[in-house]
Amino acid sequence: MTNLDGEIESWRAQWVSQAEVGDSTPGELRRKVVRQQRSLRMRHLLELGMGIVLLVFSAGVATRNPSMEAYVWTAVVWAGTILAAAFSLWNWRSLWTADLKSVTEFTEHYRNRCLAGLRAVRFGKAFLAVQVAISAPWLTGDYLRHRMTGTAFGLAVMVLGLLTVGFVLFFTHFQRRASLELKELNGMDCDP
Amino acid sequence: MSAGEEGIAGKATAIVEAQRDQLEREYEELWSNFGPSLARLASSYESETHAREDLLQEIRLAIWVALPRFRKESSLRTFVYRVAHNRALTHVWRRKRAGVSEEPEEIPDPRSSPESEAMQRVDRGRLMEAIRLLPIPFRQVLTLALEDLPHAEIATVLGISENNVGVRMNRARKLLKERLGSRERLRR
Repeated sequence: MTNLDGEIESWRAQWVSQAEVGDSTPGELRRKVVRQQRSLRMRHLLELGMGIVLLVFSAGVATRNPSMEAYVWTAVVWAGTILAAAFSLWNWRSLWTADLKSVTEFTEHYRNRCLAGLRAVRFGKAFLAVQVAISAPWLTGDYLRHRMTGTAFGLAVMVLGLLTVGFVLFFTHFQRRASLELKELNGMDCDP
Repeated sequence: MSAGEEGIAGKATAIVEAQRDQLEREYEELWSNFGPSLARLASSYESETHAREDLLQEIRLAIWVALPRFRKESSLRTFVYRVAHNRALTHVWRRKRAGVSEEPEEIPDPRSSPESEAMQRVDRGRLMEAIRLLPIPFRQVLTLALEDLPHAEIATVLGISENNVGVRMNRARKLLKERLGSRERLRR
C-alpha cells in the first residue's frame, strides 16, 4: 500500500464511521409527491384561469360596445396574451424534457433554466412597457373625450400604476434570484 | 358498468397495485443499501443538523420520484448518486440564494465521553468540516472516492472524463491535507 492509498484509507475509515439515517416510509413519500403535484397543478390552473379571464373579459367588452376602437383594444389584448403564452412555451420547451443524466449535465440544465428565467424577465419587462405605453394614452384619451368620469379615470390609473409597480418588483426579485444562482453555477467551473 | 368492463377495471387496478408494491420494495431495498452513504453525502453539503435532515429528506423524495424512470442504462449505484448529488446542489444553491449562511458544526469536546470514542468523534468532526470547506467539484470527487467508487464510476456520476476525475482527486487530496494540517497547527 502506498502512502497515498494509506491516507485515503484512513480518511475512509473515519468517513464511513458516521451514518445517522432517518427514515421515511414509501407511504409518506407518496403523500408528499401527491401534495407537490397538487400545488403545481393549482399554479398552472391559476395561470390558465388568469389568461382565460383576460380573453373573455376583453371579448365581452368588444361585444357590449361594438366599435372599431373596442375591436382594436380586444385584438391587442388577445395578441398580447397569446404572444406571452407562446413565449412561455418556447422559453421552457427544452426544460420539460431534460433528463437529469449526470451532475455536469444537470448543472448545464440548471444554467439553461436560469438563462431562460432571465430571458423571461427581459421579455416581461418589454411586454409591460408596451402594455403601459398602450394603456396610459388610451385611458387619457377616453377621459379627455369625456368617455370616462374623473373617478373612473383615477381608479383606472391607480390600478395600472399598482399593477406596473407589482410586476416591476416581481421582475426585479426574479432577476436577482436567477443572477445569484448563475453566480453559484459559475463557481462550479474550477477545472484546469 | 357491464361485467366485462368491471373485469377490465379490476385487472387494471390489480396491475397498478402490483407496480406500486414492486416500487415500494425496490425503494426499501435501495434505502437499506444506500441510506448510510446518502446520509454521509448530505453531511458533506450541510453541517447544521436541521438543514442536513431536510436535505436527506429531499434526496429520499427525489429518488422516490426518479426510481420509476430508472432504465438500468447505468448501475443502480450510479443512478442513486447522480440523483442525490443533483438534489444536494439545488438545495445548496437555494439556501445560498435565500441568504442562509452555513454555521460550522460544533466539534465535540473530548472530555465529555470515554477517551478513545471522544477522540474518534473529534477526528471525524474535523475531517467532515475540512471536506465541507472544499470547493464543490473537488468535494464531490473526494466523497465518491471515500464511498469506494472507482474513478470510472465517479466519471459516469459526474459526467466528466476519468482523467479529469484524477486531476480533481489530486487537488482535493492536497487541499484536504492542507486544511487538516492547518487545523492541527491551530489546535497546538
